[in-house]
Amino acid sequence: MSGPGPVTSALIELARGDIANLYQAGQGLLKLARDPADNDLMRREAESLTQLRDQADARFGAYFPRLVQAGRHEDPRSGIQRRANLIGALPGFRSLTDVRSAFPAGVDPRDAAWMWRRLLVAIGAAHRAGVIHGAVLPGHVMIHPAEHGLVLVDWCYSAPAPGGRLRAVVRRYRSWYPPEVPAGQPAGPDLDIWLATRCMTELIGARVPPPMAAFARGCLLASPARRPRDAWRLLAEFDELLERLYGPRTYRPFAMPA
Amino acid sequence: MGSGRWSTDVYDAAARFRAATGASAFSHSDSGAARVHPSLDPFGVSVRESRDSGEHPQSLAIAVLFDVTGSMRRVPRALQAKLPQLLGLLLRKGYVAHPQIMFGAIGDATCDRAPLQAGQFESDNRMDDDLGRILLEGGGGGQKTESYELALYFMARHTAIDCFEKRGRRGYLFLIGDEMAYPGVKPAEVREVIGDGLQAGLPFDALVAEVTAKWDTYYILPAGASYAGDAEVLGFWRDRLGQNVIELADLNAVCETIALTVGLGEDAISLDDGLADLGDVGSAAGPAVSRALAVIGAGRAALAVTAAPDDLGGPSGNVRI
Repeated sequence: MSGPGPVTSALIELARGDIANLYQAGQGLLKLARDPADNDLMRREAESLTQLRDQADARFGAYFPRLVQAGRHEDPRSGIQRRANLIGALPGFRSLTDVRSAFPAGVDPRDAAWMWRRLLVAIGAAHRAGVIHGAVLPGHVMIHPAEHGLVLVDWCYSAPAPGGRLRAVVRRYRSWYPPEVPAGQPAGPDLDIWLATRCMTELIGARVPPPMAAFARGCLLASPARRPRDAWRLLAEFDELLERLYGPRTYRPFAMPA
Repeated sequence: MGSGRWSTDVYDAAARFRAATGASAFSHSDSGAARVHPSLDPFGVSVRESRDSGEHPQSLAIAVLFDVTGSMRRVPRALQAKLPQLLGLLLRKGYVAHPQIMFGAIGDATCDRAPLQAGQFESDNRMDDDLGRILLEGGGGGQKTESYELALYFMARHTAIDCFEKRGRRGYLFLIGDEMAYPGVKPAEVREVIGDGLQAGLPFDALVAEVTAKWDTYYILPAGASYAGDAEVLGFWRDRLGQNVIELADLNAVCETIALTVGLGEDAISLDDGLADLGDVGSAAGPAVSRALAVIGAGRAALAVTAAPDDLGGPSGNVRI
């Protein structure tokens, strides 16, 4: 790192993401792009996290990771420079990928409900702060089971709202994106809502009640102009759906299987 | 519920983002086009079809035609930005499982380049949509009449809808405008605009009877148009459509209003619940739409859903004239 920063020798690798490796670094996670050609995506993440910190409504700050420091890392042997983002750690959080694996038959829709609601809150708050996440995928949605917490991570793919162009899509999930995005059309707020819908229907799987499936269908329309664009208005619709299905909201403890 | 750190209390702020979105995209008009887009030209069209399919086994036809003449001022542009949201809203609310929506536009046959534009019935699998192809007229005669009669003629005789033909359920037709119709359909205009050879003129009231047999027809008079609230215009339509006349105070709520009207008609929601939903989206249209829909809701026949008696089959004994 340039200037005072975490020591990068003896780093413990925690995870391999789509473009970056994550290392334990003191109180945070050090994120280093494997390919320096992805430095622009790392820079984009740092810009978006800064924008979210400065412009998102503070009441919703918990939904976004904290950028501790943005810097550079140089490998003295090769001279390769990589962007390095130091992100606040998220102890106790699990990705939706993990949650899905833990529930092979799908997550009970009454449990998925709080995750879906909070995902819409996070997306709406980001859009209002001028940022489209661009890759709302199961590995990027972290939940805290006991606290019903949710943090949307990996802002490398983000674009300016309301109509920015994505620089990249996640290869493994290419088929999840709406058709206009891989074609290079600008992405609107509807993209995050589209991908969030895919995440949640994938999480619930075959346990989805028909009215919830119809709700999802109404978020996954072929024409971008027909899709919902305001995550917070959609949350109001989603709450109506939950009331129709389950009556007044009640608290349901959620835990990952032991 | 859970930790207080993850607040989901967003309702007070929900209105702010709406203003920042919904950019108009009247691409056909804005590109300087002066003619009706070929896909919307009613000339020579035999029928616009709303059909059942494997993917959509119980289709429901919904048509929305709006006045694009000058008296409507900025309203057509606003409608063009809002109406694409209708399909998804119907699905998400659970009002209709398989809606097929057609959009069209009404001009003035006495002086406009585009007296009638009629799109296709579209399901949720279309990437493009006809709304963006609608040519904005901006003309109109200035005598508080436009060619609604041509639009109704087309809807009566040039649409084929499975919901009606197979299940006896009328489609929903919404006319959005601020003026009255001409007294009847003129053979020369029908020939020129649609291509039909009509022997004699068709009085407007006969046409209304014909179209309402197949289409549950509503007239919406929106705020922001020249004749919003005009007693003569409202009286004209109430004389013909009875309670199915809705004064829309807030254009932002046009999709919610149409969706709720369909939801009531499909017995998918009660009036009270529907109006509560309308309130939840923060629409200022609540009171005016409530009044209109309260009348519409009260006028509905009660519905009983049971298996039909076995002896209901067999041919009808009457002859239609």
